[in-house]
Amino acid sequence: MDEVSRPPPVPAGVQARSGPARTRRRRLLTVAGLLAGLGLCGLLSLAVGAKAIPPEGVWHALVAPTGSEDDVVVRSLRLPRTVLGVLAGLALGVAGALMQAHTRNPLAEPGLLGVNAGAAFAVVLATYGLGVHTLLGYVWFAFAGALLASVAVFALGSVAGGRGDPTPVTLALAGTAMTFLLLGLTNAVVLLDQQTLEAYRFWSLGALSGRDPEIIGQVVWFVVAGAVLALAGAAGLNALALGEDVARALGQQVWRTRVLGLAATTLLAGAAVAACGPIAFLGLVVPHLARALTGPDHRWLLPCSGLLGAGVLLVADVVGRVVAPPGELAAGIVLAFVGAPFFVMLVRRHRLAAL
Amino acid sequence: MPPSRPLVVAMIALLVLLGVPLLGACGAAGTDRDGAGSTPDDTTRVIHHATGDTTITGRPQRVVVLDTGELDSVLALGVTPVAAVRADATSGLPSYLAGRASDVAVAGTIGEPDLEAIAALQPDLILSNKVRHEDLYDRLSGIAPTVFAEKVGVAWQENFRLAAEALGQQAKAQRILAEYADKAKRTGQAFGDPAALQVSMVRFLPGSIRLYGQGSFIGTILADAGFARPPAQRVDKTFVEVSPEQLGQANGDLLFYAAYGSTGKAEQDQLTAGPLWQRLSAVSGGRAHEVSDDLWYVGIGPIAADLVLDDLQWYAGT
Repeated sequence: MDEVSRPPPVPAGVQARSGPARTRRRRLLTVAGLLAGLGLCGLLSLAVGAKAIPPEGVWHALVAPTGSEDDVVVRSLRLPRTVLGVLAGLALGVAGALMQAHTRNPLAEPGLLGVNAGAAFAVVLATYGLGVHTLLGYVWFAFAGALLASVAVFALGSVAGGRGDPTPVTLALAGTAMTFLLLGLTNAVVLLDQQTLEAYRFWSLGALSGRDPEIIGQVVWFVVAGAVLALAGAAGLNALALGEDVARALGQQVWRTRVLGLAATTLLAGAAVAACGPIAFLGLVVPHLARALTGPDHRWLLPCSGLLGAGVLLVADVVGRVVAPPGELAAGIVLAFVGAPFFVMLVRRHRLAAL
Repeated sequence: MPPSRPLVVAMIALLVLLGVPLLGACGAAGTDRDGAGSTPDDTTRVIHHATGDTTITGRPQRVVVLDTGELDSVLALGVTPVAAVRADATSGLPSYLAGRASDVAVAGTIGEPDLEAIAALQPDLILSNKVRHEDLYDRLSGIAPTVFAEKVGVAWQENFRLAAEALGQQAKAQRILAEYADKAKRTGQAFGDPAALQVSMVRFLPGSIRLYGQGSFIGTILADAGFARPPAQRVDKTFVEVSPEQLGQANGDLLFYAAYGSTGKAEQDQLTAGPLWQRLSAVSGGRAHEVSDDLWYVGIGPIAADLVLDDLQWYAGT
């Protein structure tokens, strides 16, 4: 039990360059900088949109609303999507970092556990079988689908792992197999019915717009729980980064760290996909950016990845609001445009492959 | 270096592709000469259309239509086609035509017409347009004389005349369009001075709000009735997509809205319950009306136009 409170081993490269105190100060500054940046992104998300509202109008809407059209736009449209963007971005950033740590694969992303595919299949079933057509109605189905898929992947990965432990390779394989199975089933249902196809196409865009503010209240606790679990397992992840055998030798309970991490990933990624639909690339790209800022210590990497994820998603959403006037582009599409070239760059830089 | 085998195959395929239309053209020219000096019902005429010239003899009886606008057009002329296509795999023909088209066989979907089934029906005329089936033109004209319209929606009157020309019923089409123009004017006048009324057309789709412009089917009807349009809708485009933040642009003196499909309906329910919709003066003044999506937005052609005018006259009375 006491191994939890033991100071975790810090990867050697970090300490070698500077003293622990200086490193700590630099990291605190990084976190403060990211928080300030996120605040700025939040303001941007409130101030910029398809409808031009002057900054004083936005301020007025926030502090002394009189029910004017601008007030309504800021309070009933921009405020909820900003809050949702922070939640989903945070969740995806942390989940991505967790996933890459657990699989020790720099190209891993939250969808690897089959979370997105599970959510998609559940949404399609709910549309086709039960006639659910609202985004609000999809939330619980998507979350349940994500959860079930993730549990199935974990079970498969454990069985395939030999000693009953899931290994990074068996998890990735089980996740990929489950994803393709669920995608096949999803396509089969979608082909049966045009209306379901339309609903699925709409849901699968991945966006912050048009979401009922009620969705925030439904997913916020899953994000909070996931984030707490993720931070609780952060120290164990540092040991795991050295390899399972070394981690065991250091007294870590590998199984416990894995379960904790995967539960956190599922909660976070499941909440994000339930609230916004699948948003690609964010969970893949953001942890790399965060790692460049903080180094590989997961106690810092996870929160920074979350803050960065929230900021990036808000910026992507704001860009999507202004690039196609008078309409909007979904944040998921904006991220795919930016994320795809970044992904190629990642693959080409082999330095990252040695995670 | 000798040419590789795939290259030879490709060249042969190209020669065959080039050769087939040439042979077809010779055949068509032959018919042209044969048709000269026949009885009026056997007259041979050349129809100039979007993808070429097609020679048609007499009044075609076995017509296949491959888009909703063409289906509406031929039904308006009193011709029941032997086959039509559905909008997609599960929905039927447009509901407003269901009564008139109950005997029409369904040969695939707009996206994927069933060419074998069409060939088996031995049609003597195929009607569609370049927008939907440009790629299929050569194969379709191998089955029967094929006439393609250039555009859809906004050009419905032109397309109707083209269909009538192919069917040899120009006079009837002229009469129907004259009646339509007259009815449109009367409908506008039923609202007093239609030019003083800005009519807004809103359509909810999954994840998007569309304001229909002057370059749409419904836009032409409103223009023919003499109505004005809100500023954002005075565009030649079929529609503009607006963000929920810009819902204010949907306002007008008179507003008609509809939703495409169940997901569009869910979108409509959410947005029309929201504060921005409720603020529209057309909504608070009780001048916003939900209409049939199948008729006002999916429908294209003289029958749809006539029914839309009926709807408008009804709203004029309320």
